[in-house]
Parts: sequence; structure tokens; C-alpha cells
Amino acid sequence: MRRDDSRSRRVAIVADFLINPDAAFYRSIEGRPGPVFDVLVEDGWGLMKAPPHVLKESVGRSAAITTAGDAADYLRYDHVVVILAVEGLDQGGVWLNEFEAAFRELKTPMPKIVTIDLDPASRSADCVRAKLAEAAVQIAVKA
Amino acid sequence: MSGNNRRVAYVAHCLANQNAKVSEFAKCAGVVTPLIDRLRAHGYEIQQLPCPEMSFLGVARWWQSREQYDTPGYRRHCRALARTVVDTVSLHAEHGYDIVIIGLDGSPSSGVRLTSTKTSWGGRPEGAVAGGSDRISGMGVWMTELKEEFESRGLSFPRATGIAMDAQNFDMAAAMLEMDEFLVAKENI
Repeated sequence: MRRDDSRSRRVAIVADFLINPDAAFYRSIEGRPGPVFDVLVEDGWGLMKAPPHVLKESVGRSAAITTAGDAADYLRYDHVVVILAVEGLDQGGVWLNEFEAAFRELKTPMPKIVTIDLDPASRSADCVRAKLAEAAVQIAVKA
Repeated sequence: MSGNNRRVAYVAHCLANQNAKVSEFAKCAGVVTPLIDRLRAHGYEIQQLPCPEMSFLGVARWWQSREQYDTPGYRRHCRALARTVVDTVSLHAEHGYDIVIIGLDGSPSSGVRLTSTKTSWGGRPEGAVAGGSDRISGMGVWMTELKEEFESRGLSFPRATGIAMDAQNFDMAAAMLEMDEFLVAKENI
């Protein structure tokens, strides 16, 4: 029997750049994502962080297969799952092509994608929360 | 921060996602904030290990002891996950990062210094409600396979510790003081 505990039942598949924007291998990327990490933490989202998008494709594919499998199981048990991508980065910085293939293979719909812009006007916590809320509402309506 | 003092912590999956915990073991909603705040304050970037229990048995899995997870099939699953982790670690190593691993002490899979034991478990699962498994020194199955993947490539296993959220009588404040000592020790090397 599964008993209740403190989990949120909300999970975000997140681009590495949104968590570690100052990593050594992101020096050439202009713009920074704002307080996305802080919002996810404060609002109780569980993270499934994708590996850095600068890795070779086979690494991203392998990670996406594992993460998509976890996500499919969360969806089966009525969790909210979203993908947080980054505008302008290859595959949204989160291996979107690999995730699409992995979810297709699992015959599970691709989770709603929330795209984070790097321009200053889109970098507020309120803006991030609004995008996440919109995605969560769409998921609820669809369900 | 220059290339020489860059730091990255590879944390057990559930330390950034309590939704992956086996039922009744989630201590907070999502991210274990005291730990992540500590790591960020000490200048660590955050990488997240996969949870082999979650991907092997799902979110509705039963409680299990280390003995129950210690099978060839589960070890193969862990080793496959470990390959992707070590590939990612290589990126950080190439950029001169100091790398640490933060496991989950008390866990049958992710324990670094402490894991679980219950040789009597098996079959009808309701016996597990009385007290859970016991704790013994040693690594969980996942950490063992991850360490072996590093060593099979001729790499040293990074400095590692665990936060004992899966142990009985867990004390977050004491655990964070111990974590500070671990992180500061690295800064002083």
C-alpha cells in the first residue's frame, strides 16, 4: 500500500543550462535564465535534470531514455510532468529530439514543454511561475 | 571563478527530486533545500545522478533491502546508468572541475557510507511495515556499480559522502554541519 508523505507529485525535466548557467562550457552562450532554479525549489518541483546539451548525442539519448521512462511512470500515477527548455539552444538545451523519440517509443505523450527565454524582460520569477502555471493548467484540462 | 577552483557535486537523484522516493520516505516536496543551498553557497554546480530504483521498479515499488536489490539484473541496470554518468563526469574533468559525489546514506542503492540490510525480507511484503530494514556500514548496490565503472576506465572514484536521510533518527541540522565539514575540507585541499 502506498502511503502519503511530503512529495509534491510535480516533476520538471530541466535543461542543465537552467541549473548551471555559469558552467565553464557555457561561456559562449549570451544571456542568462534568471531565477528558474530558485522558483522550482521554492515551489516544490522535483527535478529531473538533463545532462549538459554540449555532450555527445549518445549520452543525451541514453539519459533521455532513462528519464522518459521515469516520467512515464510518474504520469501513470497522476503526477504533473513538464519539460523546461531554453529558447535558442540546440534541442532547447534539454535533448528535445531525444525525448520525443523516447516518449514515442514508450507510446506516452510528450510532456508539455515550457520554454524559458533569455531576454531580460522574461527573466523574472513571476514570469517563470506564470509559464509553469499555464503548463500545469493545460495538463489538468487535458486530464 | 577560474578553471582551477570550479566545483561540481553529483547528488543522488532523490536529493533533487523527492518524488522518486519509495512510499513514506519523501521528507519534503521536491528539492532537499538545506543540502542544495549548502552546495550553492560553497560554489558547487549541481549534477543529478539517475535513480536506478525508480527506473528499474517505478514509483510504486515496495521497500526493499540491499540484499533484495543485489541481483545480477539490477547490477547490470546500474552499470548501464553508470556509463552515462561517467561520460558526463568526463566533461567536468576536462574542464578542470573538482568533483564530489553526495549519496544517500541508509539507502540500499545510493548509500555511500551506510546502506540497508534485512536478510529476512522477501515474499509477502506486509512484514516490512514493522521498523523497516536495519543499517550497516558500506555502499549500496548503485554506488558500488558506479565506483566500479570509474575504476574500469582507470579513473579514481571522486571524493564521496552521503546524507543519511534514509537512516533512522535522521537529524538534518547535524547532517548539514557534517556536510559543511566535507565541503570545506575540499576547499582547503
